[in-house]
Amino acid sequence: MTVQPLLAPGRGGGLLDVARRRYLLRLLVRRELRSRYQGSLLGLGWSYVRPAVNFAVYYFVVGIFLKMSRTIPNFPVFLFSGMVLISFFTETLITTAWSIVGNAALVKKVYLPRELFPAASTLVSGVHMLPAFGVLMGGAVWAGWAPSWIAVGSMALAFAIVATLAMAFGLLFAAVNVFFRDFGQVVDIINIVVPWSVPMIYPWTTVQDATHGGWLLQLYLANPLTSAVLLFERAFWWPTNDQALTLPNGAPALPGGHLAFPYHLTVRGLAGLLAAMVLLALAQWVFARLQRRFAQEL
Amino acid sequence: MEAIVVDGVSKHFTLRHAHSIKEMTVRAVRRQSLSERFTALDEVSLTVAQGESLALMGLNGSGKSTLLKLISGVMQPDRGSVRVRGRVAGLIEVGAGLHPDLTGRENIFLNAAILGMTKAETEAKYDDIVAFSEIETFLDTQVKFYSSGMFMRLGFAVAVHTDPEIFLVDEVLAVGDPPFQKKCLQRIRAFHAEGRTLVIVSHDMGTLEKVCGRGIVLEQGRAAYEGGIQGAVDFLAPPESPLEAQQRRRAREEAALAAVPAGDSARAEAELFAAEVMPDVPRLPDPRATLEYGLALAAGQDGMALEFGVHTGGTLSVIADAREGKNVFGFDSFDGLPEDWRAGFPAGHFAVEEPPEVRGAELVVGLFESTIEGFLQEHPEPVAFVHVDADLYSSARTVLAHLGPRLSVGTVIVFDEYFGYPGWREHEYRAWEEYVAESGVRFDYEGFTEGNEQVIVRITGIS
Ligand SMILES: Nc1ncnc2c1ncn2[C@@H]1O[C@H](COP(=O)(O)OP(=O)(O)O)[C@@H](O)[C@H]1O
Ligand SMILES: [Mg+2]
Repeated sequence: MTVQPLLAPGRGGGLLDVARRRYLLRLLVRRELRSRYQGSLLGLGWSYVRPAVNFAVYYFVVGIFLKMSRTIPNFPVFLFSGMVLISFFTETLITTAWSIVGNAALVKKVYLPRELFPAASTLVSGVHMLPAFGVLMGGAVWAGWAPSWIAVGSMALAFAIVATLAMAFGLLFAAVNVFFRDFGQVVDIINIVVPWSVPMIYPWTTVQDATHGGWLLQLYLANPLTSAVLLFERAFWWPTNDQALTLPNGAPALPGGHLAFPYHLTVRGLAGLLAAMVLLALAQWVFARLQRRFAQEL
Repeated sequence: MEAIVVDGVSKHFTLRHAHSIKEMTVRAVRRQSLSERFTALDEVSLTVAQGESLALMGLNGSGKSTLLKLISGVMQPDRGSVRVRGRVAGLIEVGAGLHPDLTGRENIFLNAAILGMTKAETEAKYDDIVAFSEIETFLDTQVKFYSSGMFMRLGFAVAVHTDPEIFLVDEVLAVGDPPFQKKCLQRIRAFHAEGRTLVIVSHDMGTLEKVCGRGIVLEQGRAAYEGGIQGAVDFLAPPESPLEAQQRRRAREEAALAAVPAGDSARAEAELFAAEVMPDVPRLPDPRATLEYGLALAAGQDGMALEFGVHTGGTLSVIADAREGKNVFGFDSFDGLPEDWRAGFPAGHFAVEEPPEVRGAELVVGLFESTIEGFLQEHPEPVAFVHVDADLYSSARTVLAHLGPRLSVGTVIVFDEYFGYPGWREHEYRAWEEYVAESGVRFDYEGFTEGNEQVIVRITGIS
């Protein structure tokens, strides 16, 4: 028999420990899905209804009444591609923020790598995103979409950015919410701002015009979420755009002659992913420090 | 070997008056204190040996649960350190991981995973868990429809089928109806018998006396008493009258007798003897653990380590390892017992064809009376550790008579057949008693093997 070493208990390896306990993670995800929809009328069907209503409201108000459909050809696909990604992000922020507090009974009594709970919430949001994503895919194909390297690559990059960013903020918010219970309100407010802070309802050129291409525009474009939404639009919306134009230099353009996407979008996306990963590492570090006091604060 | 080491641990709780950003701002503006500090544990140190069963006692709020949470890693100490060897699982609170919306079956898998079991392990133990919980018919019912008793049973059944090296129990032995309680208690004792380390919090002194060897009493976060379980119980709840003291003593004697199979009077006698002369020492789970514990006690003691009665060399190699191969000697004629010992062990028993090879130890072959004297002349060092494994009164007496002048304060002697078998008062025990009476050495009992024959003594004074 090998002699085991004397170790300090409860010093986990963070997200690496989560990877080690995949089996438990899977059960936690299943539990959350189950309990959220048990005894509900539509079950997972709610994952269709919510985005559908959300979509309908924006489509009629912004697209029809405010005539955005004229500026942006094929506006429904444009709107929905951004919306799928952003609802995944905002839902993750809310569920992760409550993931530790909601599992207080466990956190207080059994030592588990605490990152498991935000990680499970993020995965659950991912599962919730699937129906809407399927609808997006179906709609795009119906509108003439066909897979291409640039489309699939853009989609993967955009998704990687949003998932990493959501996990990073999820860890931070989950930890902070343990110490300040009204932090959940802050998350709600953030979630009001997020959909308007990215080119999901309007084209990015609106910001370009309003800021005259100044440093405010650079700030707007530096947001990794902006890059992610633009990438998702490049993946799903642009290939289905029947009024696609190209400028003399080959850049894709909107009917008014505006650039459809900022230059170097792929590079911006990669930089955004890098930034998100740095943020995740930072969030993990903060979480690891704060989690030592979770059990006594709950 | 130690399984849990708690070293100078303090734990403070900050009782925060403000739990939201608004409250904090308001209190800060009014210059009210934001928090108060409260000390739940104050410089607590303790060591639990592997295979030991420790009772943690104290009034409500004395810090027992906090200490268990530090050991399980749920909380971190503010000062000092906690270290554990191996997997810790616990019943800090039964059913912590049960989810009301899942069925009993699903909860078994989830709770087992929470306690660290893999899918395969859970599947292998699934039937046992179900049988233990006695809720077969409700397995497909959601747990929220369970009665609280059924809920507890399910949680307990899963927890006791995990496979931890260290098992913590916090005030949960009182769950369920009496038959179930009894079953749980049996299971806990089985854990103990398997050599797992236990730390148990309970207010049921009777249970603690049955299961634990040692007790620690916490008082307002400090260890106020540490010692044998009976001493700890008396410390926490002193008998209120001489009559009660006497009743308690009688109950303990009866319990000691009841703990051994009927008819085994030698065993019972040994139990009584142990309860009387060494109530507070560690009860070790097996002979090997006793030997290792004795060696650990002698670790700081310089000098030779001697074994009398090498036989096939198994224990001598344990000694050689512990002493790092320095100054370790084994004595044996390898011709077996020189005279009849107890029933079943006639003269010549234990003979081996050829002396064994033991790395890190030197063998001195021959009858003790003819080898020891010459050996001691060649080796002037003191004796740090002795393992007396020669069974017979005459051998033990010879060994003690010769070694006597070399024994010093701190020398540890492990007797391999000290008590608990028919006629034990006539062999190693008698040789030791006589030696003590003749030489006037003073000693402490330091440990013994539970339900077996080994005893550790340490010399505390030489006259
Ligand atoms: N998370 C916590 N925050 C503040 N005080 C706590 C917390 N946990 C325990 N305490 C306090 O610490 C003391 C010790 O508690 P505990 O270890 O549960 O005692 P016991 O288990 O011995 O009854 C109690 O006074 C309790 O109120
Ligand atoms: Mg308690």
